[in-house]
Amino acid sequence: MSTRASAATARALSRDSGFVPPLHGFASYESAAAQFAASGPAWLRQLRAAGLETFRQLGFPTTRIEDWKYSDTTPIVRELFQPPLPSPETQVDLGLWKPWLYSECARLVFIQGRLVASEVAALAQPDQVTLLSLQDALAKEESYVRRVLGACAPLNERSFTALNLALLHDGAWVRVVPGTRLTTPIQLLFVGGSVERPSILCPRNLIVLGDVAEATVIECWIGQSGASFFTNEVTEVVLGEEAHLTHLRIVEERGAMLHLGLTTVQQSRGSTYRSQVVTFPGQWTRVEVLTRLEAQGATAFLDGLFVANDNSFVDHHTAVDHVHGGTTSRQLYKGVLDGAAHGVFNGKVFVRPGALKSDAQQMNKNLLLSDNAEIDTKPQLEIFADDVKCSHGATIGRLDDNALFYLRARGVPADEARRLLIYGFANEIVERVPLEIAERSLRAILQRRLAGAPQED
Amino acid sequence: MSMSKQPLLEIRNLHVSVDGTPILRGIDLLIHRGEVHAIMGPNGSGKSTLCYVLAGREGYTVTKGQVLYEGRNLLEMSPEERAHAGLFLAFQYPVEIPGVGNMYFLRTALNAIRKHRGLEPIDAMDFLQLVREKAKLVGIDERLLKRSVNEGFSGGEKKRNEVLQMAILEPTLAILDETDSGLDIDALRIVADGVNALRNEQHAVLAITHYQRLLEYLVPDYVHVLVGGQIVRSGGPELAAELERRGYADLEPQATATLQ
Ligand SMILES: Nc1ncnc2c1ncn2[C@@H]1O[C@H](COP(=O)(O)OP(=O)(O)OP(=O)(O)O)[C@@H](O)[C@H]1O
Ligand SMILES: [Mg+2]
Repeated sequence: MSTRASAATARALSRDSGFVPPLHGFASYESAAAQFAASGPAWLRQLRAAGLETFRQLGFPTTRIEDWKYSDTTPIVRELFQPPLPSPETQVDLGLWKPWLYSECARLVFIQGRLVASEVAALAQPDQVTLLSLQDALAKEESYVRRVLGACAPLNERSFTALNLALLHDGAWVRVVPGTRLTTPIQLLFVGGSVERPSILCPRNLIVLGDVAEATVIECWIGQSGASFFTNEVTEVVLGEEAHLTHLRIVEERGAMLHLGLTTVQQSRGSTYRSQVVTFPGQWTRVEVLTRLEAQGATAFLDGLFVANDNSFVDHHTAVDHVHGGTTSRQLYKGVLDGAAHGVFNGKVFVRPGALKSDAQQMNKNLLLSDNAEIDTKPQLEIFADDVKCSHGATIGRLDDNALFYLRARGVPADEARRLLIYGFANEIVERVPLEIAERSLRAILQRRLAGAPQED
Repeated sequence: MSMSKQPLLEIRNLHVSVDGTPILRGIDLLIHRGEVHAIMGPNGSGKSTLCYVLAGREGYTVTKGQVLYEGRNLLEMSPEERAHAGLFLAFQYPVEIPGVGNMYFLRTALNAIRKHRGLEPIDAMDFLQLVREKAKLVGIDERLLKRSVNEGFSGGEKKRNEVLQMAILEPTLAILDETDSGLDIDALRIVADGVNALRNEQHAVLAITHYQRLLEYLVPDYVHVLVGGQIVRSGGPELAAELERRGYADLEPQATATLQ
């Protein structure tokens, strides 16, 4: 094992490919992969092996790769991450995470990558939806899983996706049968980290909506206080014709928590994908949303909000691929950066040849609250078709002095006035959040984060 | 007014520059509780500058003189401290604040001031009732209150919103910077009513205006004429009528030569 690893290392280095091997070599990732390698059906074992092989060939991307130009992976490259220790099968007290247990939702809770709670009693239409861990789904409806897994998030040169596959063990499986308008929102809560050692978590979530199905899925990614871990998650979404998914993803991390998220979406005719990604990063966070509008009438709304301070790094990448004409996309990402935080927005819109009457808008607005905060924003349009409507733009600003004075002249103290204005800036995204309890929860986090509360609780 | 009573506002020989350019050049003004003062003057004469300096906006350098509010050095106070002490400026150009709801803003402002007065935050129901009542008084559509502060409001709606804030916050000294500009006749009366509601032994008003029309409803105790950063004349309400007839042409700032 280790000799092969070093050979791969040498290859990665000698090619001068823009990728680097992990500082401690591939061994720890290999032994992590070995933990799961033997489990599951043959096709899955093959996928994992392919993932590991690709990862070994590549290593981690560096800033010499265009797509990673502003995203320094050093914090990931240099850390010795290990798979989570097998935890004793005792009852887990969810009370610790109470503010995160959204009432009225059906829910799966994962701690350190392991399913600890499945609260599906709230489901109003239990026969129309499968809400399972990936492990259980493999046991129950393997053929479905097989059709979806990896189909939507191909490996290509994506080393993190390869790593996710290599270490693939569990995740969430959400399947809504055609024609079902799911009234119960689904929440997926992921709690990462143990304080014993830096761990790597590679969950894979699959969300499949049949034709004319409708659902709301809320993912929350949080961490154990004081823990150090790296989440490398992949979510694959497949939307049938006229299917509508509202997909809220909240990442609230702190301290030495690293998060890489990739969501890939396949959209059929007339489908709608509403994505809202809200990140409060710890040390390092990058979240990518890629959607393919594959047929007439497919529509994507991609909202984003990131609020970072201290030395946090936060990166949002989007790519909307107008494969077919008559498709629509709207993107609005807003960033608030304080302290010495570094933010990145890179949004791509592709309009393929022949994708006539595509309609794409993209906007990134940023608020810089300190002189040391930084944003690299790069909205990109690549249009290969005629008769399209496309626009993009980016703004970088500071708090409006006139507004600040107006509030203070009405008696609002300066720090509260600042907070109110930041809140107002973020509100455009927050008020579009689908579920009231999630909206309230976001407002509470905003209050807490903006109040300059200490990073550790 | 008896001379022994402490003035609410006392401006003494106030000189103010913006970016090194002198704008106010020796303002003297005494305002007692119970009085309504009006300031008139041509465009660019420094009326808004005076308002902003009184409200505590940054970017103005006081090069000479002082301002006392209830005997305290006003210029040392932060804008919010001035508001807490009962000073209110109705802006000539009210600011839009996207994403901040009008109701939330009103409540935050009221509670900040109540806190300073040693009062509990206002109960949600009481607040709603108060806003309803005052909104009706100033003729502002309640639906506007559900929107973000001043966002997309018409010019007149913004001005009415200023008057609404004044009515809710009940300031000791209300400064109105051309609140009547851009208002229709009905709204003009509403502004005057708003001011007259504050007209008692506890409050005072300083109203900047270009139009005698407002002063007909308002009937100020004093009218001052500001030209070139100086008050060149003061008088009673009859002065406004005179200005309406003759304009500012023969009112020159005094002693311009001594400035060099
Ligand atoms: N920030 C600034 N920089 C430079 N000059 C300024 C600034 N603010 C005001 N001034 C100048 O100061 C002078 C007085 O302006 P101010 O707004 O006080 O006038 P005003 O009397 O309120 O006029 P109006 O009747 O038009 O409202 C004007 O000549 C204006 O151009
Ligand atoms: Mg003015």
